[in-house]
Amino acid sequence: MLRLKLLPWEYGVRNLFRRPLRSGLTFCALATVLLLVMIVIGFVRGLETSMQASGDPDVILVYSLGMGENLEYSSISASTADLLPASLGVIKQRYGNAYVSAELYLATRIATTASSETTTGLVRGVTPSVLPVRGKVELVEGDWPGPGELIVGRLAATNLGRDIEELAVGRDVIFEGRKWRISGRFVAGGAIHEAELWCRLPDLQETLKRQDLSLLALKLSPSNSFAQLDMFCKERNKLELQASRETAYYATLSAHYRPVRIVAWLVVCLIASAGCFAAMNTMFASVISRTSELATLQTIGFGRGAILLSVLQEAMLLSMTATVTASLVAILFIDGMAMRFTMGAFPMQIDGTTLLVGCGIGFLLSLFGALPPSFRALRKPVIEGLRET
Amino acid sequence: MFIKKMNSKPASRISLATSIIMCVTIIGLTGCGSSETPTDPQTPSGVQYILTAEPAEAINVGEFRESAVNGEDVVVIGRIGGDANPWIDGTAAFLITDTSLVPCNERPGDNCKIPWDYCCDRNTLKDMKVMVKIVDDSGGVVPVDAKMLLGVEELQYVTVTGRTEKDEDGTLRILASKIHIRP
Repeated sequence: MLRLKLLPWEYGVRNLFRRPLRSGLTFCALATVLLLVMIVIGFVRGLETSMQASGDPDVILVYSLGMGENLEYSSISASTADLLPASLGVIKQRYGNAYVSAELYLATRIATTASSETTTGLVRGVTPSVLPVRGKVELVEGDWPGPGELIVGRLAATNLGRDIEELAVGRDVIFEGRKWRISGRFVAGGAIHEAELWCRLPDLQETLKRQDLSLLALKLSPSNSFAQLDMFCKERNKLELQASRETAYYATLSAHYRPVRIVAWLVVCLIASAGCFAAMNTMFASVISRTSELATLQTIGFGRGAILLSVLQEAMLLSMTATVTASLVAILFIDGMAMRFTMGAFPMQIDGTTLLVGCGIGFLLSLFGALPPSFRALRKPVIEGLRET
Repeated sequence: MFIKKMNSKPASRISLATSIIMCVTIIGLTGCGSSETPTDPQTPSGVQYILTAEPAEAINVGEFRESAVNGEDVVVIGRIGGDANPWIDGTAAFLITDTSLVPCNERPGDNCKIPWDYCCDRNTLKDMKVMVKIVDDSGGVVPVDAKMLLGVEELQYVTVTGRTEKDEDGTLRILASKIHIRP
């Protein structure tokens, strides 16, 4: 029968406090490593979630042929907004109004009245039809923009690298040679639209001296399929239109960030390795300085297995305490922090996946940090261990 | 000290029996898949639409677009492509392009991943491609993906036999009853 006489739980706990400075430094190192790991994973998760939230499976985008990856260069005729509902019976309608949102998309240099420094931001000219099409959009402060006004997304200030007060309701922003008053603020369910500034479509067209559109966003009626709209666009060569589901569009964009995600995970591995070596260093020092003590324990009847478990217990206590601390800091201070990234912004996400990976890495750090020094110490014959001082 | 009984005969026999039962169970569960008869994905389901011999006197897509008359019977040759996704999901419809166009992968030094979109010929492409719809005896478009129906893929040479359909706004399409697929 299995009879493994274990060392008392308190033995492992007391050993940690026998060298409080060393244990404290290792705890700080592990907590820092794990916090960094969670920050990087939170960044990747935030980016992925933002892309997923931006795509509505019911929304179809119609834009210029071949401009899927650069919507700011897409140009379609304004008459397309009327042509599609008239030609196709597949678009959702309510009280005679088609769920078609005509939009003009612009990347331009934007300044605020607080600072003349300009940064690149995204402006979208829209009509009130955008609200039924993009159902996640919600005006949380102020009013829908009137002439010369615009509304800002929740993360627009982060995207522009400004303080949030500079883009408060009632303040002004300047782009394309004119001043625009901020009339309201909106949220979009975590979508990347939250990094944009939305103004009235006619105002933007007049400012830019153009009558075309960048894209149409529309919703199909439940009984109709995307194939009919796709066929319509592909048959009419002269219109040079392309249709795709919004989810497919953002999936394509997300694929471009794959190298970023790979680098992020590589950074996670490197940071975790550093943490592992820190833990290993502490446990090596802890075990080697107690060689005669461990030999004595074997002499009085405790097996190698029990000693191994005790060393693992010490490492586990240290590492998991650091994991819990790092998790709390991440949840309290990192979760939801807005990150500016290329042409948009998104919130960092310390979600279940992030915490699970962080805790898993913490567990593995303790395991790989404790096992090598334990094997090294226990491999030595008891007699030799007793001779060491 | 705690493993002295592990090597006894009854225990080893039980372990062996358990291992055999687990292996048989795993093999059995793996084998219990779909009850459908496995089909060869290479065999198209629309063999009745496929011609074994290439029709003669086929005209190219560009020539067809210039001379098309609504309701006229035509034989048109082309290459499947003209868009990043030349297929229409759920229907036997696809785009074909004029055979004079050179796809990106046939240009020296071009490693384009989607050569059938003819991105290098964007200016002339709109006059050199047309939609083909495979129709059944009742004249309706076959509601099966063309890839599955005909076993075709992008950049394949096809010759379609059918009828021209031209709308008032000039939109052209070929309602094809037969198709030859060049190997």
